[in-house]
Formats: sequence, C-alpha cells, structure tokens
Amino acid sequence: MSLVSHTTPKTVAGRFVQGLAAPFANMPWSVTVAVLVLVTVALVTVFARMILPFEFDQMDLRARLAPPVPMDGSSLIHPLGTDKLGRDVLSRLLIATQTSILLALLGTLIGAVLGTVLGFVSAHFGKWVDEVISTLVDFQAAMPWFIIALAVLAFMGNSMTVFLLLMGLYGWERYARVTRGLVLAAREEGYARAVHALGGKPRTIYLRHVLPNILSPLIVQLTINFPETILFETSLSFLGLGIRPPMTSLGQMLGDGRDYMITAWWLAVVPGTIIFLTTLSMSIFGDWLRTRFDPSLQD
Amino acid sequence: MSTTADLKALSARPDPAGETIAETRDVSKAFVYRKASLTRAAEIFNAVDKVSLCLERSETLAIVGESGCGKSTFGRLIAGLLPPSSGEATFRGHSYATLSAEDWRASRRNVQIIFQDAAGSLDPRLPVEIQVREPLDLHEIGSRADRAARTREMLDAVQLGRHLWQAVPSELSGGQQQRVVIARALITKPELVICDEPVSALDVSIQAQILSLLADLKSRMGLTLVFISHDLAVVRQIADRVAVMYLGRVCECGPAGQVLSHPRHPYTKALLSAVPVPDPAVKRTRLLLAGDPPSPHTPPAGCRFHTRCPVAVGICSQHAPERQFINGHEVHCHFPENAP
Amino acid sequence: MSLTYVCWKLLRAVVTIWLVVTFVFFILRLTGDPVAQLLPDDVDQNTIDHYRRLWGLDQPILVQYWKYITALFQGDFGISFRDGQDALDLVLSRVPKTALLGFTALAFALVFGIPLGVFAALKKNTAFDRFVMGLAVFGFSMPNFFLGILLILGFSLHLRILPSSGSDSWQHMIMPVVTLGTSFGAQIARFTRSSMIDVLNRPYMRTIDAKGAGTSRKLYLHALPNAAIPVVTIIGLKIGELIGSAVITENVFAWPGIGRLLTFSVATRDLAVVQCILMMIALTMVLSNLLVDLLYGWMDPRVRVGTREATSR
Repeated sequence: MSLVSHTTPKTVAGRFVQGLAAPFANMPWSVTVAVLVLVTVALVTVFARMILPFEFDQMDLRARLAPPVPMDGSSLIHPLGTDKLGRDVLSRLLIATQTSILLALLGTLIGAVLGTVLGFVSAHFGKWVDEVISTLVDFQAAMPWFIIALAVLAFMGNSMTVFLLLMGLYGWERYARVTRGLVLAAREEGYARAVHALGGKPRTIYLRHVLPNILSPLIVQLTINFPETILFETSLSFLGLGIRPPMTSLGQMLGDGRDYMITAWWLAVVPGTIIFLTTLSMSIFGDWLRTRFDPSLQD
Repeated sequence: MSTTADLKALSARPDPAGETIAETRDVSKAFVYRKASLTRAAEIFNAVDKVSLCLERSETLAIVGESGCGKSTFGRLIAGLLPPSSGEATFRGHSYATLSAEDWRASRRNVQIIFQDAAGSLDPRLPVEIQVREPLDLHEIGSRADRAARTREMLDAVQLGRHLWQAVPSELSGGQQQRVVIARALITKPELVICDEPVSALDVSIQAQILSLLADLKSRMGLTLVFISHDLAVVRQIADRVAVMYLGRVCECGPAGQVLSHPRHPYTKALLSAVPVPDPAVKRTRLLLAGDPPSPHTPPAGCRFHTRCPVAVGICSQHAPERQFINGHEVHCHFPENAP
Repeated sequence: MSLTYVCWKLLRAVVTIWLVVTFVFFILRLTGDPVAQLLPDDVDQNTIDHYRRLWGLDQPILVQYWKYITALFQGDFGISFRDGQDALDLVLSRVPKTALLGFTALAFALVFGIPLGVFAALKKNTAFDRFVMGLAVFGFSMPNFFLGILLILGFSLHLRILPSSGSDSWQHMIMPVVTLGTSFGAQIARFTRSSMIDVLNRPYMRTIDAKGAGTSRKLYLHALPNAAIPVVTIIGLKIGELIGSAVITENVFAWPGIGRLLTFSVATRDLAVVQCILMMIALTMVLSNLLVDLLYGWMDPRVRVGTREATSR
C-alpha cells in the first residue's frame, strides 16, 4: 500500500532517533567544519576550567607581551603569548570564550523563552492582550536597543544582572512575532482546532501539539539570534561597557588588545578570530539547518 | 472478526426511534466582517439566522446548500463548538451555553465533528495510532491496555492497514487520512457526529468507500449523523432526512426521499436540476438560477431567495415566509409546490 | 494608499518616539544621581546642592519628566553637564560627519550588494553563486570592530598606505566605510538573491517567458521591481543595526561623529547629551521605518489599493 512503510521504524523512539539523525546525513564539508568548530567551542565552554594551563589572571611581569609560538622569542609555556601584564593569552582566551558563550547562550535563551511565551499569550488571548504585546513588539523592533543598552550599562555601572537582562531583551520580539504567527497559523490549520473539538485543554493543545510543530522554525530563529547575541556582548565589552576587568570576555580581550596593535597585534587578532569563527560557524550551520527544516523559510 | 462483535456490543444502548438527541431553537450566529473603527460601528452579518431544527436519535440528517450558505457554521453550532449569538443549541436537553468549561470538554466524548480537511485536522508530527488514541487519553477512558486495545479495534474498524499505524499523516493518502480522522472521532463512542463535507476533498472512487464505511459504522454503533455537504449525489446515498439552507436560513427540510424527489421549495428544485442524471431518457426542465447568490453580508429583505427565484412576486420581497408543514415536510416559501 | 493608513503609521511613529524618550528618561534617572557621579568626591554639600538645583535634579522625578517633555516641545534638550553647551547644538554639530559616513557606507553596501545578489540569483547554483554567497556569509559573520582592527593592522600599520584615524581627507573614509558597509552589503546581497529567486519562480514570470519577452526586458521591467519590494523593507529594518555599527566604527577609527560623542558622553555621564543622542537615533529609526512603510505602500499596488484585505484578515 504505502511505499514508505518499509523504511519507517516501528517504534516512536526509533522514529524519534531517525528524525534527529536525518538532518545530519549528507552534510556538505563546510557544514561539517562549522559543526566541528562549534563542538570545540562548546567543549571549551564546558571544560575551560579543567584545561587551563594558568590561572587566567595570573600575572608574570617578567614575561610581558610575549609573542605566540611560531614567532621569535616565543615559548611553549605560553603558546599564544602573554598580554601587557604577562598573563597567559591561551588561559585568558579559554575563560573569555567560556564567558562569552555562556552569556550569549543565557541571553539567547532568555529572549527565546520570553518571546515564545509572549507569542503564545498574544495568539491565545487575542483582543487587547494581543494589541498590547504587538505594540511592545513593534516598539522593541523600532528601538535602537544596542545604543540604549550602551547608555544603560554606562550609567548602571558594572552589573552582571543588568547586562544579562539587556542581552535577554535583545531580539525577544522576533521570537514573539514568529511564535504568534505560527500559533495563529496552527490554529487556522486545523489540528489544534481538531484537538479542541476532541475535548483537549488549551495546555494540551499548546504543549503537546502546537509547540512541537513550531519548534523547527523557532530553533532556526535561535541559530540566527545566537551569533547576533555574541556580537551584542562582544561589541559592548569591546567598548569597555559589558564585561569589565577583572573578568574577561572575547570582546573585552579584543578591546584591551587594541591598545597594543603596534607592538603585540596578536592580543587583538587571537580573540577576534575566535569570535569570527564562532559566528561564522553558527551562521553556516544555521543556514543549512534552515534549508533542511523548512525550505520555504529561506530568508 | 471479533472487533465487529465488540463494536456491536458497544452499540447496545437503548435506541428508541423518535427520541430527540439534539436541537436548535432560533439559533443565530453573527460574524463581524468589518471591524469597528472610530467613525463607524462594526458591521456584522448573520451566517446562521434563527434556525430551528430537531435531531432524532440514530437518524442521518444531511444539510445541503451552496458554499457560504452557513451550513458549516450551523454544523458547529449543533456540535456546540461555537457559542450562538442568540437562540440556543442543546444536546440531550442541555444547552451548551450552560455548561462549565470542564463539562463542555467532557461533552466532547459524546459529540464529535469530522472536518473536511483531514490532513489539516491531524497533527503532522505524530503517528496516527497515537492520534486515534488521543481522545481516550484526553478523557481518561479505561486503562492503558484498554486504550491500546480500543485503538487497535477502531483502526481495524476503519480498515486502515496495520502497516500504516505508525505512519505520520503525510505518509497517508487522502482517503487513509480521512479514515484516521473517522477512527479518532468515533473512538469515544460518541452519540452525535457532525461530518462537515467529509468526502468532498476526495476522489469519487474513494468518496464511495468512505461513505459506505460511515454508513456501516453508523448502523453498527447506532450513531446520529449530521452530514454537511454541497453534493446532492452524496447526500442521496446516506441521508434519512435533508435540510436545505440558503443564506443562513433553512428553506426546506424533510425526509430525504421527499425532498430530493419532490422538492417543494423553488431553491431546492433549482439545486436538484443542476445535478446530472445518468439517464438520457429522463427529460428534465433545467431550472437555472440567475446570477450569484447575494452577499450574505447584506441579505435581501423578505424571502432571501426572491432575488433569484423564478416564481417570486411582490410579497416575497416584503415578508419572510412563515414555516409551514406539508405532510411532515417543512417548507419556508409563500408559494410552495404542492405534492405531485 | 489611504489617508487612514498614513495617519495610522504616523501615530505609531509618534508613540514609539514618546516611548523611547520616556523609557530612556526613567532608566537613566533611576541609575543614580549624575551630580554625585560627575563631581569630585571632596566637594562640599553646598556645591552639590547648587548643581542639583541648577539642573533641576532636586525635584520629584515626575516633575522633572514633565519639565523635560515640555522643554522638548520647545526644542530645548537641556545643556551639557560638562561644558554648559546646548545639548542639541552639540549633537547637531556632529551629525554631518556621521551622516557622511553612514550614507557612504549605505551606498557602498547597495552598490556591491544588489548587483551581486541579482547575478547570484540569475546564476543560481553555479560556482559564481556559491562564491558570492560564501563571501556574504563571511561578510556578515565578521564583527565590524574586528574587521576595523584587521584593516588598521593591514593598511595602516603594515602597508602604511591609509590613515588609521581622523576624518580629514577622502583616504580617511575608506576603511571606516568598508568596515561599516561590509556586513550590511553582505546581508543585502543575500536578501536580494533570495527575493530575486522568489520572484523568478513565480507563475507570472513563466507567463512573461511564454509571451516571448526578451531577457533584459523581463529582468528590468518585471523581475527587479518586484524583487525590490522586500529589499527596501529590509534596508529600513536594518537602519538601527547600521547606527549601532556606526557607533563602534567611529570608535575604532576615531571618527568625530555622533558615535564618538555618545561613548564620550556616556563615559562622562553627560545625561542631557546622551538623552538627546538617543532621541535623535530613535527619531532616525522611526522615520526611516515610516519612509519604508510608505515607500512599500507606494511600490506594492496591493497595499496602495486599500486596507480592505488587511482588515478582513
């Protein structure tokens, strides 16, 4: 009867595993490289503390501005050289990567959860609730958020909570827009309406049916927002407003290294390269995921 | 087949003919078609306008009419899925409007609806077996094992091949999807099932299969069916009674044989004359309707059909016709055709 | 395009500006007393009180807000805490430099982005297409502060052919414009490509083929105008991003525009100037969004005809 039946796993679990693995078949080489980079970054984020050769703030004033390995005067003790205070660049880089990625991850998740929930609320209640949320969405989209964040951070001082909050609020409106549209479409589409007619509670309809069905476009949105959140954090830290000493992040390292461009160019280039590679890999991976999940969603 | 026996056992409920199972009294549903703004009030129209109808247990009532006549909306009112703007819709004597949210959800066990778009009304992501079982999960009917067994019975009853039970809807054909939807609607053993154009999206050959399946399940389970369709050929096959709707109102309602062979309302006649008859010997006078139906947003005054009616006279544009009964056959017309 | 549509958009624009002004006012006031932060620690209470009175900071915050809003309507943005200059004058004096940089970068992005996007779409799935799109991914993944630093390292410090900071000659503009325009141009190229492919795949393009219209006629008369609609929208939506990037670019290259003034004022807690800049930026964003909306309505006849379809949905 059906052509597909023979290749279809019989169990739900089998289908689930196949569904997860399917998109990863026939990856082009560029995506494979991107995934490898992302996995490395993820491993560094998790294990930075364990593979640290030195404490990231351990100074060695006798070995200041040592160059990285292939250059004259370098040593294997500091394979990526040292900074103005003789701190090991590799160790700082590991911690900075961890900080930047964790912050971007948290910020993206806060925005995603907030936006998705508000999108659901907006679509579910409609009427004035929808009006209010839609106005907030438009407002957020029309605000120069990066600039406002810059001003707020400067006046609020060195507060991690405020910084995280600003990052979380960055981009939430896109999830809200996407979710609201998708939920409304899903309700129009009929399966949600059908479950309602079967006697399903709103919670069942949204959590069991609608959310799993709109998850792919939301994940795609996540892959678009994540690199932008990294840039948001690194840009602010670069300007000296986000992560400030004694803590460090990739943007903060780059901002610091900027003052030594003539004598120690690697101080800026090394963290900059890591930022670039991460956002580049995320973009390549996200693009590919997007065409995989939903060919109609291409830009 | 043991499942047949089981399903027969399920249907062993008292089955007194003539018992009213659901009813609508002067029920109307208004929709906004232009939102209010600062300068003008919202513009609304009645998709269903003061319709009264009685459904008897175990009958199949067909509701026919052109698209846009309000038959789907009326179906949803009978099912209790839409709150009426005025009048009331009752099921087993209880108005849906008086039910709490909890009781309303519980009532879904007994009142089910099958939508035209089978593919759309199935979750694209879940295997069909899980979806057919879902109503049992939602209403917490039986133990886990019972639910699984009942799901299998039901899937067998709609003759969906076992190898398709784990498939997702997109892997099924249109007819198979509709079988799944039917299985899901009937698994709670509902008393009343509203079928909203259940076969009009299907090929003609598949239509016949689904129709005979529905007729079979109906008689085995003792269902009461409301069958909404624009296709008189389909209605002829399945209906006990037919109600014809035009612009939100019923114009004629009666036993299928009478309405379809001896229509009394000019609109029904026109509808019927548009159906091709497979016998060239039969001579018919084609009764063609002039123009499109008026916009439901601004229905004509008086009898709603008078703008296209071949027999309309002055009174038709001024007064809406009263309901009258001719041999238990309800007609809304100033000049109903008499029995042959 | 109906009058109601235009009025509605205008109203929304005004409300957005008001919200930004209010939001910024309260957030910045809530972060502490600017006087205490501005003056040295050892000044006596009298001096502090004097400045608080002078800047109206001794009054309840709602009174301050009301005064601020009414003053705004008279074009009074307050005075710089630093040097007593009129905040608006100070900001306006920096506008030309930023506008010069911004518009040149925008032109740079469009001049490269649109043709590359169009050709990539026309040569879809060829090596050229893949090359251009690969370049585009590189372009918008590159953080502009890093690109700026790489350019300085390469062209100022290594090759010594371009100045690394300042704004005195056209040579000074090259690196800032490339830094600011690259990411934007890359996004435009990608967007143009997908919009163009979308249009070329529509049924009406096949009709035009069937009519036997020439390739260039098909391209210029039918495909490009239709493909331009979403591209225009995206340009408007990205103006905010462009301004954000400009702040960073101006900092990297010491370009004396609004962005430099903003980071400087923020560092010195010059409240009036910061507020004035934020409002100017919000105004620019809202106006460009408004412009895009109206342009969109004018370009897309479906919107121009009326709002009937929009309201019935």
